[in-house]
Amino acid sequence: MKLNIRKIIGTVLIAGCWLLGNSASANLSCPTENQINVQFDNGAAWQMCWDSRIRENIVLSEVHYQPVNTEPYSVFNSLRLSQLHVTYDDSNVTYNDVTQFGLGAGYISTLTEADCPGGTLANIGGRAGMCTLLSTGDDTYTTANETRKSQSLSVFSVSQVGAYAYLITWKFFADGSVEPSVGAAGALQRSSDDEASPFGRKLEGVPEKSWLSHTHNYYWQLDFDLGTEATDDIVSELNFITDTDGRRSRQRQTFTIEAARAIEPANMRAWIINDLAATDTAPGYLIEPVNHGHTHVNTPVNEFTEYDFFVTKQKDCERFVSENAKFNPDCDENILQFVDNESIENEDVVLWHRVSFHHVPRNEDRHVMHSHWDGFVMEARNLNQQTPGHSGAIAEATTTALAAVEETSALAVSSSDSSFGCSLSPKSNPIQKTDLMLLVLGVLALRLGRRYLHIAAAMHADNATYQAKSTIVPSFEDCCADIPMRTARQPSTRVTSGFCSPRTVRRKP
Amino acid sequence: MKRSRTVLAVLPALVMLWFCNTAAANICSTTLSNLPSGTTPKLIEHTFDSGASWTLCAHIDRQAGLTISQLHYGAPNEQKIKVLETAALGQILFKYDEDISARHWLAEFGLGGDNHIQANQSLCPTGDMIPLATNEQLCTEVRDLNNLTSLRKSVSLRRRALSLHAWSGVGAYRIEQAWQFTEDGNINPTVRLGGVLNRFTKNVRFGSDIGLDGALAANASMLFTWKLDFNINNTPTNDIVEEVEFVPFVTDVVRRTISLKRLQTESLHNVNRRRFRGWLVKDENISSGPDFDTRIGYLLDPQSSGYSHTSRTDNWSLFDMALTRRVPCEQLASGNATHQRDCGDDLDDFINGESLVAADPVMWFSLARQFIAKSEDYPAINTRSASFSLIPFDWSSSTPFSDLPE
Repeated sequence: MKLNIRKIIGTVLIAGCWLLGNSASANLSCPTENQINVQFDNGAAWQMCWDSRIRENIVLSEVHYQPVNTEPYSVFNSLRLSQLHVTYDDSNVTYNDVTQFGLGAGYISTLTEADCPGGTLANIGGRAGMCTLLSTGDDTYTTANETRKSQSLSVFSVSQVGAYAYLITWKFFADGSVEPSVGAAGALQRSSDDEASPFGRKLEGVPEKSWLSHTHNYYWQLDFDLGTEATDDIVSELNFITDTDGRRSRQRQTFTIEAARAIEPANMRAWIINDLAATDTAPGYLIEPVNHGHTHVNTPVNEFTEYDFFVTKQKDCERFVSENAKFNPDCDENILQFVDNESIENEDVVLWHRVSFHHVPRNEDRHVMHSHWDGFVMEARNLNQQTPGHSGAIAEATTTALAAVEETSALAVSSSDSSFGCSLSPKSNPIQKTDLMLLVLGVLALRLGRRYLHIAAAMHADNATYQAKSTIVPSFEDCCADIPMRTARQPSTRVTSGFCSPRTVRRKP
Repeated sequence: MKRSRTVLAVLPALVMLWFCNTAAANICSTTLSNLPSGTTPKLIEHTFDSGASWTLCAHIDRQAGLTISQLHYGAPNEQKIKVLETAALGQILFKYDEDISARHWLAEFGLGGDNHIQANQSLCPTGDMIPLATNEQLCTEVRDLNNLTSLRKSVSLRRRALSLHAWSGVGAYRIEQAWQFTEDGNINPTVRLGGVLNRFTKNVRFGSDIGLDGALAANASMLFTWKLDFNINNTPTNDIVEEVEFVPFVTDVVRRTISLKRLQTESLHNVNRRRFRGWLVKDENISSGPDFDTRIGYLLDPQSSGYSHTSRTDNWSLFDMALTRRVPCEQLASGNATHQRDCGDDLDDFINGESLVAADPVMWFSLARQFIAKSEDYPAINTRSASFSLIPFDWSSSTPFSDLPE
């Protein structure tokens, strides 16, 4: 442990020296005391500004990642926890903790050095309210000859709202990836005097009460600005469709208008944002919604809970997922109203993502709760030209495999499409026709009223499984209708799309 | 005379120490009947400053790799109670997208034997390397969790965790099996996949361009399955498994009531995301409190089950959780008959309607993940991981951390 602390202190000192003498630092507009700079052992670095606001508490801005031996690269214009819902199982009331109470100002807990070992405490309104902390984790890569442990910078602050303590954390990794998370701790907030209440649990030592189960629904706002231009980021959805034989085909579809999307577990749906081009090799970030074993859907109260991911055109007044107009009267009230069919082509885009946590009280939660962590990873892709920190030595297995694919490529290319049963070639793929129809319907719907644009019936998840078949790929369904997969409900109609054919990408000079 | 008294005083302590060590060692040596001769699981114990403690045995199985047995947890100021009889990976399915079917890594290659990679200083820079059998070595580490685990009214405490790590090689891939045991009783099994790229394609449907002059790195899907043989309070045949859900209250979809359904026969199950489905394993008789309202147990929290596996060949792999009655020869989720000739081949064979009442239930939990290559995966794969949590549920009558005021 002593060794770790020495290492961390050493790294910070090195980072400081490096930053003082390095002309390649990002030009951050914030005062020095609001800057966070760190360099890792592998040579990569992060630079950003931070601020504490009454509602969101920590807002990070001008976030730059600097890959090894290159210039700082802009990643985010801003990052914030945009809303935090608490919904108890016994009522239809949803608390909007960010906008009803706020996570900043008087709600910030004072941290001690013990809370931030080896790290740096920052002052917020006269108290130690934020910690920045370097740590070493598990392997970032391991081969037969080389291994390296991951390093990351954690930025966290704690907000006490009622009985709950929220540990709001942003983790920036040396490979460029970013992991926002929230730890829910503190104490149980609500109980029922009806000990037999079906909405909660009776715990040992409190025979007269039932402690209520509840959901924490976290929404993050991710204002990406990849590279030098804010308006050239492209957002796509990836789906992996399994054909009759068992092969999985990747389908990539680019958003051209604002959209609200739900998870699709059987297709391993993911979302990706790229700089300049919607290609495999363009720098970008991938969001795989793997922490979605639980999803809070409460459409009678909040229609937007049907969705897990949103892409919108950037607007300063669109800050909060719900109760937005309360603080931004010239803007819409909630995220689903933000998604109003505006074009996002050549526009600055904002992503929104949510994760739900349903908390069932247990004896251990009396009298203080141990934190339950929820979050997701934004995986950096192609920000580094190769594995960061690696020597560059190519393994024999890789060389052999590369040679093998060259030898067999002619045969593979000529026989591949005809052997799979379902042709999904771009030219014949009626997805584009379908989406064109959806767009036409969307325009018609716009005339009928903006509200109905957002209504998107969704997959029903009250059975044991989600849909095994994609709801967005009717061409594939038509082609592979007899796929013998697990019992699945028929997909219901979906109208919120935002897809169209891949656009021509404008490359920067 | 003075020396004699000293010897007399110290002798009982030495005898007690010898007895305890012998008893502990016996815990590890007598429990697994199907181990190869000469294999003795290693006893690993750790007590945190708070008084919380873990005791377990560990060995490297030829097929499953790192295998945990006789796992006991003691909350601070409470006696240790047995949680698991054995726990290990039950299978890894690995399928390139352009292939029709998956490889069954544990059955076809195994994570032990020659595929085990001994922990060394570079793999285990801040932990202890623990030798097991010949040419077997794992890494144990006590790590600060780097977060505030309990916090109220500006009273915060960090928590620590004991973790075990073992590495294996399957072809050019590297697999790390890790088991983390936190101070507050959580069990977090993890698998990490690394190594080097060793499959390429020319077909854009099945690969990712990482800038290698036309050769695309092959995309793949994985399914990691763990086998968890609970034995709560050392009475395996009175462990019961309940499916926990939160269902709409009558017609009011907004309000939710808790639903507990006891699973009484072998069966396959999926997560139900909108009903917050989870699975609770608990002892039928033992309570942690004087009111006897609850039973001690562990909750399998499927929060990291955001993806589902698809397959045309392995029906069982379409499900997130399987529940079977313990049969010693049922070791692997698939490809089992290759190594256990008189036994079923996979979970679809194992699940044949047997009752779980007054039987020892075994839980098989799976997580699906995918690999989409990027430039950072060349020359070395940027490690991908899958992990889930087993959470103590009513194990204590209240928080066992008495250093936190109400």
